[in-house]
Amino acid sequence: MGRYLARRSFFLVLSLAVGMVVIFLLLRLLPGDPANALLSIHATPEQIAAAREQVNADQPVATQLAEWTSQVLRGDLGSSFISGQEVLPDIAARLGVTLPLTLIAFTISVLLAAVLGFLAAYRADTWYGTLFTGVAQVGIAVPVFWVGTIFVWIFALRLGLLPSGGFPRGGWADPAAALRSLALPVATIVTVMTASLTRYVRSAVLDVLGSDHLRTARALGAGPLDAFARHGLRNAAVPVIAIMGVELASTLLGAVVIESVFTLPGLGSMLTRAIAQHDYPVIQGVLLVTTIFVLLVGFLADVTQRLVDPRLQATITGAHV
Amino acid sequence: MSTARPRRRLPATLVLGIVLLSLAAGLALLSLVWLPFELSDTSGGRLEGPSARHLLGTDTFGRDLFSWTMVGTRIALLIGAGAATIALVLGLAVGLLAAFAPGWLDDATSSFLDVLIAFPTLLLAMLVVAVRSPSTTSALLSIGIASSAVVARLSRILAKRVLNEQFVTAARTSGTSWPRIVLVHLLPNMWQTLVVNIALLFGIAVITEAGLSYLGLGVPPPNASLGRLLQEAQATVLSAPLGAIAPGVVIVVIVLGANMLADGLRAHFDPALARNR
Amino acid sequence: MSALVTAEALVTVADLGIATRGDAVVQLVRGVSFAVAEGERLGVVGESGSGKTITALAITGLLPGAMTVTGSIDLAGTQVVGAPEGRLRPVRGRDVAMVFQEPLTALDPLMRVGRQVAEPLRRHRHLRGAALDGAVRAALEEVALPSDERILRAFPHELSGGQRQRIALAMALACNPRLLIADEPTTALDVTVQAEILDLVARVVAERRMALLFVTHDIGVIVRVATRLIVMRGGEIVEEGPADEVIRHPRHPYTRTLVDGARLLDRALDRGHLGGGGISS
Repeated sequence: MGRYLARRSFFLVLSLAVGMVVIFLLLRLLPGDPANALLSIHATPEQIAAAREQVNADQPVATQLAEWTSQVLRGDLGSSFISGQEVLPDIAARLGVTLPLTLIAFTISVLLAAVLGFLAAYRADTWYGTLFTGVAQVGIAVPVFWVGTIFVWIFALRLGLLPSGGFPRGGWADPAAALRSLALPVATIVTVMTASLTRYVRSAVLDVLGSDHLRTARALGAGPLDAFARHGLRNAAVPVIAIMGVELASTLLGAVVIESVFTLPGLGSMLTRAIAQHDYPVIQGVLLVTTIFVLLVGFLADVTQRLVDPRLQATITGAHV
Repeated sequence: MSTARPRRRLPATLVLGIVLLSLAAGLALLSLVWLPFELSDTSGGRLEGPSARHLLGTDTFGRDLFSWTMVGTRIALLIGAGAATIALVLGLAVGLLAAFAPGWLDDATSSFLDVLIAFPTLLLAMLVVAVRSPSTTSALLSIGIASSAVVARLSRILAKRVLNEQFVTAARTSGTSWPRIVLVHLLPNMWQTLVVNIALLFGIAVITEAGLSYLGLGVPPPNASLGRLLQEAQATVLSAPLGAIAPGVVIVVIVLGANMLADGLRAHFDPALARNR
Repeated sequence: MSALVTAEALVTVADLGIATRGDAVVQLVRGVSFAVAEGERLGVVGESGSGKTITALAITGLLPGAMTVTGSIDLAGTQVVGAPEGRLRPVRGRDVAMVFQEPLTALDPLMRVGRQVAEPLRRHRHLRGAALDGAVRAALEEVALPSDERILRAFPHELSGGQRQRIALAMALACNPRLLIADEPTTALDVTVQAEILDLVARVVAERRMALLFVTHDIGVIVRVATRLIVMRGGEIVEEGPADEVIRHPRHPYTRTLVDGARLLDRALDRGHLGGGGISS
């Protein structure tokens, strides 16, 4: 296990390095003067000059990359071309909105999906089992921002129960108000994520229910629920854990899009605006933070999977088939 | 032996999927030859409710929402199909190359793909759009490229599996050329799984396009996009809810249709798996 | 077709019919009747699709998916056909236990084999703690496995095919059933190991005076274990009788093909591995 951790950590760092290079190069894909081309046409000469300086535009690309890497390692993510604000503190502040939103939504979704998915599989021939399956099927076809709009329409505008958007100025200083602002966004993401996760849980449980080893347990006298609890649960969890990483990343993305619907001052709105304005230090910074998050989650998912499934511990290969 | 083999009926999900997609396609095709109102026509009153003239009402500028939705459907299907095609071509090429590549290159590609796939398609698409400016082409390219990683990984795994089969080894030792091996042995054994996944990707592409347009990074005006329609309708949802609902319904119909098509194809190609549906 | 229905019949199957449900109704088993007496060793021989496995599964009431079952299966006084789960569950393990063909999938891949053997011991013999540990070791020894920590703490994938099947057998025996059903238990194993497992099954069944229902496609295998044979084809029984009789004087043409095929194989192979007691002896 220790050896695997070492290899996997190395892979994590390597992926991060590759990611940084990709992010960096991505925004240099434009022809001509990078700073010039990346700024909106309304940029002032001062902004252009500051941008060029920040980018070290006159130096070879490799040097620019090295400069940026050392900057990042020092904890400096540059400043926005448009507003001049430093990127890292801004991101940190906005994480205070995006992270809780993502994590709360994800946790609720996992719990709901575990129940619904199990019932959909175990009670596949009941009306509610089929209903859960059908609802999950429809749920993944629904755009998350559409759900958001509908929720706003029903719960905020027509019923006036919850705010239609925004986040308290003082952030989490008033937790109750902050939570109220997040209620509808969380509900929106939960709707879509639960549908997606339910399908995975259902599939995993169905596989296990039809498996040979469950049949053995039944053949030796265990009741269906007992057999599932002893021999099914852990086996069903394995494939679900495997996709948790990706699903969490999707939840993060859902949060990013949802911020637009609910005008939340999170990472998503920051990224969207930056892309529209070609504010590339911000784009780079947000992408970097997101990449770190996704890679970390993937790392945790892999390690957890390995801990749970002894068959994986037997193989010596790395992360690939 | 037991009774004669019964004729295989097409799975219900397959039929349903085709029906749903046909509905959307029908609407889209119709938009090519006939629209109740031109897109630029602002003659309708502002934010009117549904009526005989304007089936879905009008928007803030007095434009007919039904016409806009029809064209939006067409664009959604086009971009979905285009992106899926790009993903298929690009992904298949990369996957096949990786399968034939020497070990270290194959491993590196596989790891790279794994990392890419961990990122949601929308995010990747946003990145590509960030490099260019929002346009229909950008949307197509970005979604296509973003989705190709999944196809690449799948193609690689499928190709390797077939390459390990004995009949392929036999072909290789008897001197069959690579292109022939790919055409005669690899592709026939891969196409079914690929088709199922492309159907799924089509659905994802449509939702991603809607998301891009919603964020203002997709198909720009004056072109129609269901995502942008939803975004525009948001501000006036209280007074004209239909505008915020209808485009969403269309998206659901298309994506649901694509997903059911994929499920149905999967069940049809491998009935043994159908038990798990 | 003579069903051996005597007072000591442990299992009596009468006119069993099994068909799939749903879009395509396929009759998998038709008009099958036979009986297994206490302590008797019955072999069921047939090719793939003959319905032998599904007949065996039907006795435990564990048919997969949606099936329509008609007829009667009397297992030690319990009518299995149409019985609800509540009535069948106590019967499984106590009256009948089963060993399956593929031990790698039949065992829980995430659980150590020691625990898997302990489970039926705990359930059927109500053992706990030290008594349970002792019983687990004894169970392993009975199937000729070393009862050391290494085996007890191993996961199924860490053992060999033969070892896995011994574990599966130990689990079945732990229930102390009156009838042991073995569904192609050696098919997935190496030829060298097959003989060992066969002998093991024959020995434990004799020692415990259990009835045995042994399902296989390999008529060469069955003669080592069974005293009576049933030949199935296309979901029906085509021949039945004492093992010796059926092999030496097959009456049905299909049985004749099976026996002849096995004889050919016997002569072609140098039968050092399978030892004595083959078809041609």
